[in-house]
Amino acid sequence: MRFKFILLNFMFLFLFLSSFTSNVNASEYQTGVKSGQELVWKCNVCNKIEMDKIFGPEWDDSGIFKNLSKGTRMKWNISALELTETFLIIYFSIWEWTSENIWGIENNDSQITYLSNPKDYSQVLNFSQYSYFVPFWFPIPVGDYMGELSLNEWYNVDNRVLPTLNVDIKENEISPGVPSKDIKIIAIYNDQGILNSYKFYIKGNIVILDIAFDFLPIYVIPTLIGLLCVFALSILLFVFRKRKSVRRK
Amino acid sequence: MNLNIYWARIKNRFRELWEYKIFRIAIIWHLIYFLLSIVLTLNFFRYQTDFRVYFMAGEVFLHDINDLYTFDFTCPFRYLPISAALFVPFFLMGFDLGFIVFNIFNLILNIFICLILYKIIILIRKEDHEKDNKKVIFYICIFLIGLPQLYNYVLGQINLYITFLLLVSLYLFLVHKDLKWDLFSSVILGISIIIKPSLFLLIPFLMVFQIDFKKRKINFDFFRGLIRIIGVLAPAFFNFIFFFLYPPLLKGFLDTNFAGDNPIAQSFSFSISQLITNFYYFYSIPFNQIFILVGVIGIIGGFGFLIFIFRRFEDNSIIFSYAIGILIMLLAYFDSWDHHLLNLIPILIIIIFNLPKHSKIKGTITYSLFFFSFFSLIFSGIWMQTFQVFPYNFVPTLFLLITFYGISKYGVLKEKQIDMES
Repeated sequence: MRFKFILLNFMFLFLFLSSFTSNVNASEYQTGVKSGQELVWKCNVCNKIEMDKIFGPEWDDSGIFKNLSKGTRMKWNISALELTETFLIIYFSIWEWTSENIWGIENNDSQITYLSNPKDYSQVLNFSQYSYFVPFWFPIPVGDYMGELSLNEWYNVDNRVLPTLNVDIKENEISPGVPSKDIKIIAIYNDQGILNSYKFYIKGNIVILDIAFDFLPIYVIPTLIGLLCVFALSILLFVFRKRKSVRRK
Repeated sequence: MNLNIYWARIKNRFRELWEYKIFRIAIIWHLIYFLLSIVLTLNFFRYQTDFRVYFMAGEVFLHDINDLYTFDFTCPFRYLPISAALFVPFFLMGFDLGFIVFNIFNLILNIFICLILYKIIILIRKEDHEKDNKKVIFYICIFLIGLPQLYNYVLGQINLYITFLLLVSLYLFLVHKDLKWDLFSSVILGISIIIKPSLFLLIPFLMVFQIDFKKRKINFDFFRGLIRIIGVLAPAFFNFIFFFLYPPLLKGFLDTNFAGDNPIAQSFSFSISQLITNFYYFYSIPFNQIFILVGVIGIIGGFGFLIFIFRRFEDNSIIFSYAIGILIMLLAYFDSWDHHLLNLIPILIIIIFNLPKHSKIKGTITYSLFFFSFFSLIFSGIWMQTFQVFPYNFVPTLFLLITFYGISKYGVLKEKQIDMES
C-alpha cells in the first residue's frame, strides 16, 4: 500500500515536471558583462614572424591586434549596455596592447552588437570581419548562444566541457594567399561570455598566438590549495596507517 | 496464465526487497535522479548534453548520412555510422519527448542490469561470503545511487546500453563453455562496440592465452580465441556497408577519430592521455595526440596484456579480462568521463564477490568503487573551478591506477596466495 502511494506520488511529480519543462525552452540571452566592468587580456605567445607569413606584415597595424606582442596586455572598459528585444549591444573603451603598467588614456571606443535571438541571423555567419576570427565576447548562456548560431564550415562549437569555438581555415580560403598556411584556433569562453583563452595554431599544433583573459576568480587559489592539502593529507594518512599495520605484524 | 504467475513472482520478490532499507533508499534516490535529469536537461543543459548530438545524428542519418562526421554538432560525433541509426526514432519524437523516452529506456536498462548483475554475483560468489543476499543487494544499490547515474541521465548518454550488453555477454561466457556460446557472447559484446566503442580495447583480452611459468606450459586455444575475435568484430563490419555505400563517411570517421594533428582543448577527462594533453595545451607546447594515445596504450595496455597472459588462475578469468580491458580504455583513451564509470562499477562489484571475503585486494577495489560512485564527479567540479591554474583532474586517474594495480595483483597472485593474504 505504502509502495503504491510512493509510486503514485512519483508519477504525479513526473507529469508535473514534464508539463512545465516544455514551456521554458527558449533562452533569454543576456550580456553577462556589467557596465563599468574592466576586462584585461594578456598575450602569452606571439610569433610575429609566422603571423607576418600567414597574413602579411599589416596584420598588427590596426584593429584589435594592433601593437600585439608577447607580454603585452589589452584592456576594455564596458561603458554601456543596451538590451532590446532585437539587439544586445555592449559599448566599451579600448586600451590597446601595451607592456606599460599604467594604462593612461584610452585609445579607442567601440561596440559589439548581436541579435537577441541567434536564430534571427538570416545568413550563415563567420567572423572574418575580425582579424582574429572569433569574437572577444558572446551573449550568455554562451554555450546556448553559440549552439544556436548558424556558422559557416570554418567553425565548430564544442560545448561538452567548456564553451569552445574551434576554427579551422585552410590555406587560401579567405582570399588568394590568405591565409598562406592552414590555421586552427581554439577559443574558450567563460560563463560571462568573455573570451577566456585564445590559441592560434599552425600545422604541427604549434601555437603562434596565445591570449588569455587576465583574471582569476577569488575562489580558484583557495580551492586549489584545499585540493592539494586534502590530497597530501590522504597520502600521509595512508602511509601512517600502512606503517602501523606493518609494525603490528 | 503463465504471465500472471510470473508477474506475481516479480511482485513478491519486490515486496521482499522493499523490506531492505538500502533498497528503498536506492529506488527513491534513483527515481529522483531520473526526474531531476529531465528537469535539468530540458531547462538548463539542452545545448550541453550528449543526447543533443545523438538526436542530431539521428536527423543527419535520416536526411544526409554523408554529412555525419562533418555536420556541426555541439561536439564531434565519433561513433560508427550504425550507431546513428539507433537515434532516428528519438529524432522523430522531437527533442523533449525523445529525451524523456530515451531516459525511460535507460531506467528500464538499469533494472535489467541489476537483475543480470545479481545473477552473475550469485554465480561467481566465493564460498566464504555470507550466504544471504544482504551484501549483494547493498552493492547493487550502490550502483543505482552512484553519482555517475545522475550524470548519465542528465547527458542522455548511452553507457547503460553498453553496460547491459557487457554484462549479458559476461554472464553467457561464465555460464556456457561451448564454442557456439562463445561466438554468441562475443557478438553481443561486438554489438556494444558498434553502439559505442568504449569497450574496443577489451578485444585482445578475449583471447584464450596463458603462459604458466611454473609448469612451463603455454595454454593457447587458438580456435576459441579466433571465434571470439570474429564474433566481437563481426557486428562492426556491418558498418563497412555504410562506408562502401557512402565513401565520405569513411574519411569523416577516420578524420574525426584519428586526426593526430588536430589540437585538443583541455578538459576534465581523467585519462592519462588527456592529462598529458592538458599539460601541453596549458603551456602551449606542440603535441601530436596520436603519439600520446599510442604511447599510453602501449605502456598501460602492454603491461595489462603481460599481466593477462601471465595470470596464475583460469577460473572465471574472463571477469579479470573484462576489468583490465575497461581499465585500459579508461586510462588510455582521451575521453574518460564519470558516466563511463557505469561500465566499470558493475565489474568491480563482481570482482568484490569473486575475491575471498577478507582479501586485501578486495579492500582496494571497494575503496575505488566507493570513490567512483560518490566522489569522482566532485573532482570534475573542482577542475571547473581550478582549470585556469591547474588543469589536471588527476585524483580519479590515481584511483583508476590503484584499481589497475589491485586487479593486476589479483591476476598474478595465485588463488591460494590471495586466500592466505586474507
